Amino acid sequence: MSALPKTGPIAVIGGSHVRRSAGQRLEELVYETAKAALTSAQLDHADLDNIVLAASDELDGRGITSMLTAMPAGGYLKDVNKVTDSGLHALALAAMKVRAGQSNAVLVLSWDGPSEAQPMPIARTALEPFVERPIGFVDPMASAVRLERYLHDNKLDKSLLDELAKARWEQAGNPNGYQETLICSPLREGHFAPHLDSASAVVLSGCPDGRPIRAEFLASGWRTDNYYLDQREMPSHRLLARAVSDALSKAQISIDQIDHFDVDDSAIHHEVWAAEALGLADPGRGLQELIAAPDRFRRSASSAYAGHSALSAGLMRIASSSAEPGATALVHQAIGRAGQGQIAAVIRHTRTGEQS
Amino acid sequence: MSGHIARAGIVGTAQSRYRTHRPDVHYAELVQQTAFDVLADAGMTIDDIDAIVFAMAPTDFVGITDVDKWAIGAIGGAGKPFMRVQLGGATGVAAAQAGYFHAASGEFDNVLVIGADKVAETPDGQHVLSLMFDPFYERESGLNTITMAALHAEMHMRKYGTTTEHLDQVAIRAWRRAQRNPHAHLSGILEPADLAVSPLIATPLRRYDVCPRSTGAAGVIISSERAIARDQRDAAWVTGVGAIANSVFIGDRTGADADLNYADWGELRLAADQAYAQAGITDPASQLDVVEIYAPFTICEVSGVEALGLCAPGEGGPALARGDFDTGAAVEVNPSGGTLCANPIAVTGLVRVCDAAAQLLNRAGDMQKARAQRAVATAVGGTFQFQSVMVMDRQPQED
Repeated sequence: MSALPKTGPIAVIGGSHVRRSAGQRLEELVYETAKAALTSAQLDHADLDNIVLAASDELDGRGITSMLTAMPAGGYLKDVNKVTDSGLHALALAAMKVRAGQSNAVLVLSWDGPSEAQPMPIARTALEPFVERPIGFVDPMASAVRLERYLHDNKLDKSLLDELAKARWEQAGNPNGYQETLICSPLREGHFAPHLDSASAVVLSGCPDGRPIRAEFLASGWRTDNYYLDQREMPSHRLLARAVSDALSKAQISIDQIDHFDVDDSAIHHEVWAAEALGLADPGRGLQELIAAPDRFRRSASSAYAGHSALSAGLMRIASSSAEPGATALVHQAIGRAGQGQIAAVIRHTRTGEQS
Repeated sequence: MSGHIARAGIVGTAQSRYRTHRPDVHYAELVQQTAFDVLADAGMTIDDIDAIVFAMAPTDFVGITDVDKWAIGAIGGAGKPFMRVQLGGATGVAAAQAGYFHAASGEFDNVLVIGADKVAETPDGQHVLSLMFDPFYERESGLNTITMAALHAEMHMRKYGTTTEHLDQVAIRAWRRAQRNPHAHLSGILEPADLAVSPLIATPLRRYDVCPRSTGAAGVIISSERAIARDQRDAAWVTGVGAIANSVFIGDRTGADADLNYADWGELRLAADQAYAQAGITDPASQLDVVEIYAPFTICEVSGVEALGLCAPGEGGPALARGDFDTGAAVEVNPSGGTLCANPIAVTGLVRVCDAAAQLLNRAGDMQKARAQRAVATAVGGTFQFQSVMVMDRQPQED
């Protein structure tokens, strides 16, 4: 490691997204993803000095999941750290390491394996044990409460949710994917994107040494709200607006300079509130305006309706972006129960093969 | 990166008292009190904090998944940038390093690094710890955190002639030093005869060779150079950081083909080498004043002083038994009593950072080493596979 403190953009020199194949062990998935990212970055293990992981021990069914995944990720005798919030949080930490002069080449890797977990019992254990656990106030219910409030405050009919969700499934090429099963009013099963077992990785470099640059990481902003819903900011999009403002301020650009909005669409309400937070829809009008103009976000990566990996979704969007050269993308992810946390990253895509 | 890293420093520290149980407070309340204390120590309010890094290791002990997200409101962090670091026992120093990156990157001025653990909330901590091992091979073999340390001890004894008497002296001296530590979970006067009849846990480790299960919280505030200068604060400057990971499989870390030998603590040595290079330390034994090693077993203090370059390989046992690193020595090792006297796992590494930084800030109370200029804190996680090291200095690094 011979880095120096760095200001300005950080090069994204590699990325990968791998869907878990049948029978593939988690360690094998992590290895395949790390190897693909390093290959795309024209790096080998020796060039790497840092690895930042994002994972959930509980969803992986391990006390410390990185004990078993650090080596497949390429961590042998390297600096390895792990965050639990999201892949974009890992990316933010990696970028700060580069900016602090502590890394030249860092692999950021995150994964999800919901098919092997039982998310609902795990979600129950995330509830504090005194009030909310006995009630069973898990995420679909918590989100439903906030959404009911949103619909009430804005005098909206809940059928609008169905209308937008059906449009999204249709856009994803799977119109029959929409399921009417009521989970917790007003949320139906079809209001959520389907889960996907996958892993994603991005390679950042403070000094690319002539390697082709896929994109520049400009900045990220992240905020986490109170645990208890009654103590959270309302309206629901305000926290994301602050996170986006942080990211844009650090990147020294305005929202008008964003070409693509790869927002979290793992649930209908996330994307509605994202539209309002980003100024792409008027407050309280997100649902109607997204129904009227379904392509309002001008995405550069696939929708969650093609498969949603909760922890690594943001990283996946960066790794698999098809943005045109020169385009700037804002990538967003909501985390935790009822979107307790919000994070946004700003990426500028470079011309194909552009070198440092 | 020898000789220059971006500047940031620790301006406040706080710890709770450590006990087996704290039935008087739930997790969020436990963290809250320490948040108040660390803000007071730094002369700040929560409004001065720009970002939070939360140190929390496996949540299995506490029984609340993502318990950090519950605690955020209690520490006044709602609405702020927040992330949780989880690297097993190495979490505390890894989180402090993450806090340092927040400040040193120029993105944030004042970063609160805080966490807590209630290890004894679960009736069988060793069962929980055993769940971290590979489910196909090592878990079935009965490997747990104590037996893996016993293997390390056996190998160190065989290679270097370290004895159980050396280990006894490590425990005796740690407990004695901890009498000056108001936060310590365990302290007192131990006699060799007490140790000889104490229960054998896993050969050669007896009860006093093993750390306790502790409940407690710790926190530090790390500020950017810009903020320290602007607010004219006293700081323990971070001058070097290092981290190394190795395979979970202990079998891959032994034998002629292994890059490192499990008899030694080679991963800690490599992590320390990184941090020392940044801090310009070439002779740790003469350049360091205080070392807080995360040594959850007596053998780890032995191999730890060797890995950190305070003595030659194989000399750790005799040196510690002679009291070469006790109070008044050129380098004091674990003046707090160390992890043998308190182990709230998620923050044990952060406790090491607190104790080391407090020495440089001249706020270590009865543990204070006079004129301490340079200190080191370490942490270890997993199967001794994750290492984190932080070097701090009374003075910022020169350009």
